[in-house]
Amino acid sequence: MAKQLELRFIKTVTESYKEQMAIDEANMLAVAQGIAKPSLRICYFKKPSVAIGYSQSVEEEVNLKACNALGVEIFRRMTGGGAVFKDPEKELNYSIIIPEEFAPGTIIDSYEKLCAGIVLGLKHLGLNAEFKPVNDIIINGKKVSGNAQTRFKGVILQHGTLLIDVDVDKMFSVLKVSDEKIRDKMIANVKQRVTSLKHELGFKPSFEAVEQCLIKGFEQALNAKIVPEELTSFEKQKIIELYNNKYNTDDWNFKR
Amino acid sequence: MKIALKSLKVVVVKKTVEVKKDKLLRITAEIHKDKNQPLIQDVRITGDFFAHPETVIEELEARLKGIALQEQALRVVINNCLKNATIIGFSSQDLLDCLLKLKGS
Repeated sequence: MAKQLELRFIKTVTESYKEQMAIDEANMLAVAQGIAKPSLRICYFKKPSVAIGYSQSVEEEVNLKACNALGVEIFRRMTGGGAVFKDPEKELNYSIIIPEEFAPGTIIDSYEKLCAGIVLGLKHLGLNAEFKPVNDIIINGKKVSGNAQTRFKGVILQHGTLLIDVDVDKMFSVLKVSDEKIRDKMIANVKQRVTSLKHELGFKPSFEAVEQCLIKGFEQALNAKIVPEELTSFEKQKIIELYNNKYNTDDWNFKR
Repeated sequence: MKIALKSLKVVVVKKTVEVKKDKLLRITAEIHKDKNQPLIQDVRITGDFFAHPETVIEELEARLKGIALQEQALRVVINNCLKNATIIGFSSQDLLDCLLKLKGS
């Protein structure tokens, strides 16, 4: 019989999203070293931010002047993908860390397996969502969730965002576009392609309700048992080290 | 030994090229043009692609330094460097085509 996956459920609330990045890496190291159980985390943060992908250039992607004026923080993810504006009031972020054996196959296969947790979770909200390869979840053809993965010593980390509400104009006020001459057209295009739970449901669901649906969705998708649990002392120590020495440094965030 | 003055002339050109399919691949490079065969002096590869492991891109940038902008030489470096990596968003051929665009003008 296949081994059942046991996941710790952890909720972390931080000022800055950079701290969530440090928690991600600390969790991943602990799971890879067998010090801690795999985990499903819901990440709450307070400062609006721009997250850029591992291989992106801040200068190419972010309007620094606008970020400074609006008090928007910039941070680099350990995962690839694109730049996104992160609004603490409009999105639910999660991070799941599991051994590769629970999401085997190609990288795309593992995205599908893990994104199924969100797709099934959204069904509990009455929404018919679908996985769209490589890393998106759509409702009625429009993107509602973006996800990204990294791997370390047999462990997969996937983190992502679920849009509860969305303000595309605000998003583009801090991001650069490839061609300024067609900025308005690009924004209109994104508005056509992106949706939110509020838009699809006709009301804004509570964060708690979405959180509960995600837990149910991941339980079903991964045949997992999910139990609330604390971070280990190893993780707590690592988080401080990683925040101070990596995620809160310009060497990391502005390295390209 | 007599060295022709012309051969001492070193020109470094900074150039950005890109390809955009599902994901953006942007290459910014300094090209050393003092010989018949232009060389990559420095290179930065950026974009919203996914590389597994992520650090393979920095490794590739390091290995491309000093390499001639010539198809075979570039292909060897790309294939060696990416042989154990998974890239989602561009192929080795896209990368090669993009690097070769640096030769133009």
